[in-house]
Amino acid sequence: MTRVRRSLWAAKYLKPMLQRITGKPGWSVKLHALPGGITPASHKFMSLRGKIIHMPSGKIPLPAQLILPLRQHSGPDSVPVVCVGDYVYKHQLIAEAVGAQGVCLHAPSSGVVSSITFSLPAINPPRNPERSWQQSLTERQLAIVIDTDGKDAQLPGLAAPIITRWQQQSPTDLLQAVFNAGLCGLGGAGFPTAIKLGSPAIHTLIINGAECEPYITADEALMQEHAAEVIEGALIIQRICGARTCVIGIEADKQEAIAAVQQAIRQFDSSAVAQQSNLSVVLVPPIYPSGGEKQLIRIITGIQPPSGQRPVDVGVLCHSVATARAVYKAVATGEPLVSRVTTVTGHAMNAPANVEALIGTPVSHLLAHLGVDDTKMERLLVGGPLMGYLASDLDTPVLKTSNCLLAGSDQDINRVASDKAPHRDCIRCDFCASVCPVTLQPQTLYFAARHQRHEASIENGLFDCIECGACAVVCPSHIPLVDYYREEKSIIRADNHSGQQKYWQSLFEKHQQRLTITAVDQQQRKLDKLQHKLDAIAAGESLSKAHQPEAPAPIAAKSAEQIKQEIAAAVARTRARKVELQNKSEDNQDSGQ
Amino acid sequence: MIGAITAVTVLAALVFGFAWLMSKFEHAANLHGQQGTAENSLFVDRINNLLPQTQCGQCGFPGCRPYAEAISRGENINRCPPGGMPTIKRLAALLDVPVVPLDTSHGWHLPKRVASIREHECIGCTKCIQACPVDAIVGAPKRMHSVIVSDCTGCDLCVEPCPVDCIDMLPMPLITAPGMVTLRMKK
Repeated sequence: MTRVRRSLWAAKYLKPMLQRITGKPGWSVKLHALPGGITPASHKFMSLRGKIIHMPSGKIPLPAQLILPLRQHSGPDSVPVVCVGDYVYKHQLIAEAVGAQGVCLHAPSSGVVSSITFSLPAINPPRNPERSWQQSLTERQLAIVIDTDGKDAQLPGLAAPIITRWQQQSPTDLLQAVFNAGLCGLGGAGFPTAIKLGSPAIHTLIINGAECEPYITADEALMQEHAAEVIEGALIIQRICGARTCVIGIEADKQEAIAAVQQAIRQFDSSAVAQQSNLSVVLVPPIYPSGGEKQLIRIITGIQPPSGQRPVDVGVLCHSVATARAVYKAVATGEPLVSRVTTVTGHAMNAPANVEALIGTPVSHLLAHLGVDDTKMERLLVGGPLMGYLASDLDTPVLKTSNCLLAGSDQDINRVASDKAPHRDCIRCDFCASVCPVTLQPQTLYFAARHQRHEASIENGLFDCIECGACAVVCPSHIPLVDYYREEKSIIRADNHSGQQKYWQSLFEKHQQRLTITAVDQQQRKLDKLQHKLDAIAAGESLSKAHQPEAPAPIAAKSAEQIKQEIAAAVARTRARKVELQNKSEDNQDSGQ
Repeated sequence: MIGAITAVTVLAALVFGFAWLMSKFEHAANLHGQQGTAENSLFVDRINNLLPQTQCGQCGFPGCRPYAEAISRGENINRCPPGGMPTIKRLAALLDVPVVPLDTSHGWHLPKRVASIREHECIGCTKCIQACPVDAIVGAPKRMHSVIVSDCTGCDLCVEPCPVDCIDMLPMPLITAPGMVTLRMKK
């Protein structure tokens, strides 16, 4: 009885009082429980000692080359709009978006496009040493390589228009600005931001500041130093998507970030937009993987999108704080996405730090200027220790999706990711099932994936797996479960292309058939001719008469020599025309300049 | 009576055992190059279905099915660059042999590309048409030729015979996007 009365009292007096103090009604949001999850050692303090290092600076100069792969997002590759040898200015568009899911690409600094080639592999998935060579050796990606000139020159005409009063702009214009800036999700999956923002019927916007993976502090540092930009970005996103409420979810152990964000919100309180926006901060329990998109949505709203659907389908939009800040930059400063905050950390680093790195900077450049101990660095992960990819090559560029570079000794990374030595057999202990945040049965999936039983994998929810790696961490047999799932997913995706393969197969078979029929026909024609001759001889006619047509056929009349000469002449003519055309186009270019 | 039943059981066991043994031998025979049986043809089909069907001949055989036949006779499974590692893994699973890295002397595993004829330079010699293994180039003698993009497997075979070098291999998205004509790719 007393308990009920107390809760009533709280609802009647305490809640309004809190609201009066904070000005926000959202403080009393009830959180929902997340199934599974683990609490690995965080190691976050390493890279949080200093401020974010900006990149063309004394500490980290501009790299000599920027490598910009055309696929840094989920969706079709972008198309280069510059040629080899062109001079590009900073922020200039160098590759256009293709199709609905495309993303633009901009030059992070000025320089000359030295090549458009199949560069070094951007990322290579397997991190199991037994299998790591498999893709690193053979997968190549198309990339634009810019030789920087160090001037960092920017043409004012090239920059996107700055939208000073975005509150008065229409959502469509703001969305166009976001699309033009080449934004994709900076959290890791790289889903094009403009598509997500354009989804209809969004009621809740969640800004994801729950960076739960060990070692990574990029978002935390961003919130500490640029909280105002993050909040303004969130408000812009809210205006574009039309959400009624906006919730910023931050892990409860990030005290400084929470304080900074609250401070920024208080500053915004005076403006009318903030009053309408219903903005609130929610503290999320620091459990891995509470920062996963669907996991955070489940914790805050209790909504679970059905299998195969995205959160936007059920009216919830989730963006990371890094994306929110990039949206702010795109709209308020007209700056496209050419840099991102990346954590460079690990026990091999002398000075782990957060760097605002230019997209396309070779990883080796960052490592060298931050001081890496080569003797300690046994492997380099792009991404965190649980979800990251093993980099095969130190010239791998920083991508739009690279939130962390983890250079560490084996022991360092092994603590969470068991990838040394061949693993043991599954003993069906069920630990993995108890930590799975999506409530899958990882051991069943493992057996299906290992024996390539694709239907069983799909039935058991392989494509609902978020590859968080919690199952692999707790596995007492050290099975790299996530690697098996990733491989199985790639095999099943490849299977989906088999329709095209069947079509090509049928084309090839028809081609072969046609060749056979033509060959048989030719033989038959020869035989017919012989038969005709024989008949003529039998009839007593002279051969020459029978076989001399009245008018010689034009093609037969030409000798082999003549035909050869004619072809040579045609080739020469075309070559000459080609040279002429080239000269003309060069003249045009000259006169144009 | 019991003797008769025993005799029948033993006989049946022998017959089935023999059949089972034969099937084993047949599998071995398939792997060691005896052709012509219906089962072997099915076996080749299964291998062929795993190959990417680009018909590029980079493996050294004139098309995917000939390579599938060669694999059924014991050829290495790592000679297909367009298929890359995914194909090698699936072939290894089917044939129960160890996974080996791609033999890059036959080529790199690159993203799919498509042939593109610079049409104002084409002299209409029909040589590319004859080289195309899937009839994806249309044209007539002394008339301009054109590539059917949706049919092109990106096999590269038309590039070499062209007397005026007017065929480019472009990455897939480049060809479908506007503005590709202005693009000059370095090989």
